[in-house]
Formats: sequence, structure tokens, C-alpha cells
Amino acid sequence: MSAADVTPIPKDAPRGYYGPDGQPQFFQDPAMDRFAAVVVKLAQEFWVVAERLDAIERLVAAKNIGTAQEISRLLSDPQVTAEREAALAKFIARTLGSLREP
Amino acid sequence: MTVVLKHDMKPDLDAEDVARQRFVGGLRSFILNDLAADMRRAYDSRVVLDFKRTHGREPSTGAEVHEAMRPDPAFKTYSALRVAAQKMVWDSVVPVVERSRTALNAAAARAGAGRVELDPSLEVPRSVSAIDVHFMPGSYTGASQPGDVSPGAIYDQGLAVFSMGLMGENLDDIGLSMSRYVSRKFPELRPKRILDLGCTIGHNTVPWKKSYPEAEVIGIDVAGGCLEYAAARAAMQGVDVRFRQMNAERLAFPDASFDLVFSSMFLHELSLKTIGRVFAEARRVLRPGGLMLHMELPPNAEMGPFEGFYLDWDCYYNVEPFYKAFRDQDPRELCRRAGFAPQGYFQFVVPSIGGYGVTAVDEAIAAETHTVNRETTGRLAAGIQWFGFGSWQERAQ
Repeated sequence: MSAADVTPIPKDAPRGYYGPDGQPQFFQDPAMDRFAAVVVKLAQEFWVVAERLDAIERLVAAKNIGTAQEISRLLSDPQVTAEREAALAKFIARTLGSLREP
Repeated sequence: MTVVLKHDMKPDLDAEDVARQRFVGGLRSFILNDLAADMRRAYDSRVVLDFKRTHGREPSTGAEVHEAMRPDPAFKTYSALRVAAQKMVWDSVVPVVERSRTALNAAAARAGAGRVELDPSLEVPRSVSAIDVHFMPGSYTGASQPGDVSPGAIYDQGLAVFSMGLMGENLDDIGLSMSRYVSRKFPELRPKRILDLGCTIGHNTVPWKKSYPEAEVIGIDVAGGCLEYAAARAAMQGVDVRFRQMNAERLAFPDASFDLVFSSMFLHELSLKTIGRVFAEARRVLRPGGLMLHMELPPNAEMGPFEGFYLDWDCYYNVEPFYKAFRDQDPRELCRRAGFAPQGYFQFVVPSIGGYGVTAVDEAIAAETHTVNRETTGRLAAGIQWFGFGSWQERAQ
């Protein structure tokens, strides 16, 4: 099998499905596809900060001081995990809700 | 939810890694459940109506649904976010693996010693080496340095994020569901030797040893780093499975040397020519009365046009170039072409054992027929069920 035989897209794929960079393109302007990725990555970074803040708030409330070890310990707490999963679902619904169909 | 790996090569995650991975899991769940449901509603409420106005009928194939959906905002939104989220899966694990590469390699070398046999002369097929399969950086092989298990670690940790818990707490739900189905459905089989083709990190190889503790279980793959990782992963879980670097098109095993030849999520990453050669080899190494069994995506002919389109999305947008060509085949015919007798063919749908529980699997085992065309068949979202098919090797005359 020669190198040309295996490509990331199937042989019958219409070229119009992909942008000039060869990446999948869904919006009329390929910049929109890139912005869609930027939006969710920004949301991810925001979430990372939110989770760090959550850790600090919990520790401050509990002990009035927060060590790295104490923050790390929260990661294996199933109660904290469950609460964070639920908070994330709400966060995603709030920030990305405008993507839903009305 | 991100799965916490159940072995000693589990990653050392800091608080940011955990938050970043949790976000990717939540984002994928939103896309694959909520945005997917919106896409279906958009199809039913406007796309199909527009199509009928133009064509005087509903779309009859997945390809027609795909073409009709392309301009719809629900499709564009779902698709752009799914591509972004897929890349974010790998972005959330590659740096973690990179910074612990030395320790991972040392741990794998210790635990996997004597359980894996590499073939330095093996040429990795272009279907693995020429593309980043499902956007996985470096594909299954990475830089292919012996002793470097990082491609295996990236795949394992990536699946832990990607699967959202739907592939089980040990990423072995497919193997557990399939091996329970086979062992209960065919109690007379009692295999002495089991071969798992294209096993990658052996996550679905291990359950076969648990179902058949007396059997010798061997997993093969072309990706050496994945196999070294697999050997260590299985050993750390106390399961005696062996791994050999080998191409499933050219098995280095004698004729009639296995009772069960299995694969999972393997065939859709191969060309049709390659599948023909793999099936012929499977048939050659099976003993009379042995079983070839594959867990795979359900065939298009068994699905409605929307369900077919939904699954084939990956072919066009997720670096799975062989996916649709495989799904367009009739698995019964693929088996027949490889020389298996048509009367020895069967297919089935097993509910995920982790999602539905053992009782639901046992009910599927008792059922005479299975409905393939469900939105949950082969679709990684809430309520997933696995499709499988098999062919019996004829008994000696």
C-alpha cells in the first residue's frame, strides 16, 4: 500500500466538506469553525479557574488556610467530585446554552 | 465523568489537569446527548420536510441525510464542537503523559517483563502510520521506539476522558459484555486458546481471561508501544494475558490453533481488502468448531438513514477514513467471502453491562432476535448497546 493510499478522509468525501487547511469545515466562513474551538477552549480555561477557586473557598471555609496538600486531597473526595460534576453541567448549560435549538 | 484508571500507571494529575479533563468530559456529554438530540429534532422538524418538498420523498440513505443536514445550523454547531472537543481530549492528556514518560516506561518495563514479544522487523501498516487515527497525536505507534509506552498511555488516558464512563470503570465494558454474552450463550464452547486481534492496550482482552480463567489468552497488535503498555497494564491487574506484535493479516500461528478469535472496534479502522485477509487468517487459525467474533459498529443496512448518517459522521470528520466503507458492508457476506459457512453466522446486540447491569445482558442472551436499529446501538451516549457478529468454523467431517 503506497503512502498516497491512506488519507485522513474517505475517498468519496466532497472537497467542500473541508477548509483550505484540510480540516473539517461546517460554517460558510472557515474562521467560524476556528472560533467555535476558541469559544469552548476559553470556557475550559474559565472552568479550570473556577475549579481552583472552588478548592480555595472550600479550604478557607474549613480551616481558614489552604495548603497544596489539602487542595490535592479534595480530588479524591467522592462528595466533592459529585458536586463538581453537577456544577459543571450547570456551567455548560449556562455558557453554551445559546447553541441549543429553541 | 473522567474514569480514574485502575492500575499503577494511572496518571499523576494536578488540580488543573483534573479540572481540564472534567470539562472535556462534560462538554462531550453535552454535545453527544443534548446537541445530538437537537440535531435529530432539526432533522424531523425541518430538514426532512425541506427534502420532501424538493424530492417528493424522505431521504433513503445516510449519505442523503448527511447532504441534507450540512446546511442546517444544528448540524454545524454539533459538528464544529465535536471536532473541537475531540482534539481537546488529546490536549488534556498528552502533556500529562509527556511529563511522566520516563517513570511510565520504567514501570511498564518492570511489570510487563516476559509478557510481551515484539517483532522489530514488523512494518506498521499505512492505515496506522499515515494518519492520526481519530485525531490521536502520533496515532497508535507514536515514534515507535522500543520501550516507549507513551502511545499506550495516551490512548488509555484519552479513553478515560473520551468515554465519559460509558466504556466502564476499567474501560473494559465491551470485553465484559461480549465475553459474558459468549460464555453464557454458548456454554459448550469452553475455549482453550483465545486470540484478540488489534487489541491496542489490551483493555478488552483482559475480560476474556476473567470469563475463561483456564484459557491461554493472547492479544496481538502492530503497535509495539501499546502492547508493552498492555502487558504491564494486565500484569498490574493480576491477569495473565500475553501480547505479541503481529499483523492480523499475517498471523504467526499454526493452522487450527485457536478456539476463539475476537476483535473489538478494530475492523472499522481497516480497508475492505485488509478485512478480507484478516478474516481468512482468522479462519485458518481457528480449530474446527471454533468461533470468530467481532464487536463492531452496526451495519448501515440494519439502520435507518438518520441513524446511519449519525454514526458515519466520524468517517468524514474524525479521521476514520475506512469507517463508512466498513459500515456499508453486510458482515454476513464478509464472513461468507472468507469461507465461513453462511449457516454458521449470527449477530446480536448486547446492552452495556456497566450501563444496564448483568440482568439486562442475560435477557439479551435469552432473546431469539435483536433489533439493531436503535439510536443507542453503537452510539457513545447514554444507554449505549454494543453490536457483535460471529461465524462458526465448520466442524471436521
